[in-house]
Parts: sequence; structure tokens; C-alpha cells
Amino acid sequence: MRDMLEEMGLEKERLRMVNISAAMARPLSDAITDMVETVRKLGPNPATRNGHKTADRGQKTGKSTIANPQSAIRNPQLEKTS
Amino acid sequence: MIVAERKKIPELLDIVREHQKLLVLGCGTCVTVCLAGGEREVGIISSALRIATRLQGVDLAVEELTIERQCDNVFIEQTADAIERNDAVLSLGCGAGVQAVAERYHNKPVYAGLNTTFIGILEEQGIWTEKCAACGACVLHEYGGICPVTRCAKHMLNGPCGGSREDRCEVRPDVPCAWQLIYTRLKEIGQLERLHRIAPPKNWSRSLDGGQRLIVRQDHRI
Repeated sequence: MRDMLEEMGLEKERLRMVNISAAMARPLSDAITDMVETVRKLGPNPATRNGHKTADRGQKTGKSTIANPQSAIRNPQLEKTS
Repeated sequence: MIVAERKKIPELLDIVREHQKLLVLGCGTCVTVCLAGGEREVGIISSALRIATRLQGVDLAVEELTIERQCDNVFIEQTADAIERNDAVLSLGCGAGVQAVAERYHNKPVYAGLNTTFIGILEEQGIWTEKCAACGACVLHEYGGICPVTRCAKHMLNGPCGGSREDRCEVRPDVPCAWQLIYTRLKEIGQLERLHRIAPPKNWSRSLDGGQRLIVRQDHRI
């Protein structure tokens, strides 16, 4: 996803994934602080500047009934409810 | 299944740059399973195109649609209204799907958003490997179910080449030697005598040369 951000023309530093246990308060705090600093330096999202609305999912046509099997693998509940 | 991977966003932008209304069309079959052109990827690529064009100050409206199979006219019919109200189609189907849609809607540009790569399988999470070259004259029965045409870097029908190290391929050390796999497999199933047979030159006339291939089943013709 970070690679795709760069392909779009956004800085990949705007997205970060960190695995921290709920018991690790300090590392969590540090990660959030660092991320906030990073984004502050980068400035506002250029895609939402100059009156642009936040990017949305846009128009979808009709009913796309295709279930992505990869999603079903990650969450077996989806198979039961669909 | 057919395995494909998406083109990079800059290339897609270059492909669709002359259009203002674009339909991103996904396929619910092979390319959904290989995470390249299903409903989820249609959403991701559409969003990426919207953001990228916004950053460039280009006006592009992107519509999303995914059908069950792009290589089947029964399902392609469902795209008629969406294709009609857009300037062009960016198909996230395989090469067959792109062409099937283009043949049906001959007054609309239909572009390929994926690079169709090979016939293969999901090896493990996030890794797909090629298993079949669709050569048109299958020899898998001779080699214990392991295809030397696809999996041997030198496509040798009378191997091994002698260059492998341990069980690794000389050309690609990151993959196992296909002929080592063939030997092990034939030994396991008690068919090592097959290796005594010298395979004649393969008939490649049923492969890629000679243009588009065709299968006609007279018993199914009406």
C-alpha cells in the first residue's frame, strides 16, 4: 500500500503499520508521537487541498455480488453471513 | 488458474489520460483469487486513480463494477449500461477478458489494467507459481506430473542438464531443479523406468506459433 501511495504521487511516510501489544504503553505512545511529527512535517494531504473533497469510493454500479475469497479466508464469518 | 498482476498507477494514468469518464471493470474469477482484479482491487485501483488524477489537476470520474466472468458473454451483457455511460473501460480481467469485452462493445476503448502472466497456483499466502505453459500437447504423464516445459529453465524433455547444484536450478538458484523433482516423484510412484525412454522432439505446432489456437467440439456444435 505504501508503494501505491508513491505511485499516486503521495509520500509513503503518510502510512505506517506498527505492531504493538496493548501492554506496551510507551512504545505505542512513541509510535503515535513519531507518526504525528512525520505527518506534520509533510503537511496537509495535497489531495484534499485547494477545495478538493476527501477522496471517496465514488460511484459503484448496481450490485457487485462477487465475494473476494481472500476476505473469506481472513474472516470465516463472512462466509456464514453472506 | 490464470495469474495476473496489476499495472503501476503511472502506467494506468498514461493509458487512460485522454478520457474523462472511466469504468474500472473487475472479474470475479481467476484474477479475484490471485488478488489482481477482483472487486476489492477494483476499489483500490479506482481510489488510487481518483487521488492521482486529483493531484495532477486532471478531471477523471471513475465508476466501479465487477462481474462474475469477463470471458463469458452471459456476464459481459451485464456491463452494457455502465459501459454506455462511460468514455472507456479499464478492464482488470485477464487478456481473454479484456478482448471479450472489447469484441462485444466495439465502439468503446477497452484497456488492460493487468499484466496477464501465467497459468499457476497459489503456493502459499501471497505467492503464486507457474505450473503450465499451455503448450497444447501435455506430457505430464511422462514426468510424474511435473512439467519440464514450464518448470525446467531450459525446457528440457531429456534432462537433467547436469548443471544443477544439490537440488537447485543452475539458472535460478531460488527454485528447485525440475528434473530433481521429476526423479524424486517418479521414484516415489515406482515409475523410474520412464527415464530410460528418450523423448522425441516435442510437437510445438500446437503451441504459440501459427497464430490464435482454436478448439472445436463437433459434438457440442448446434
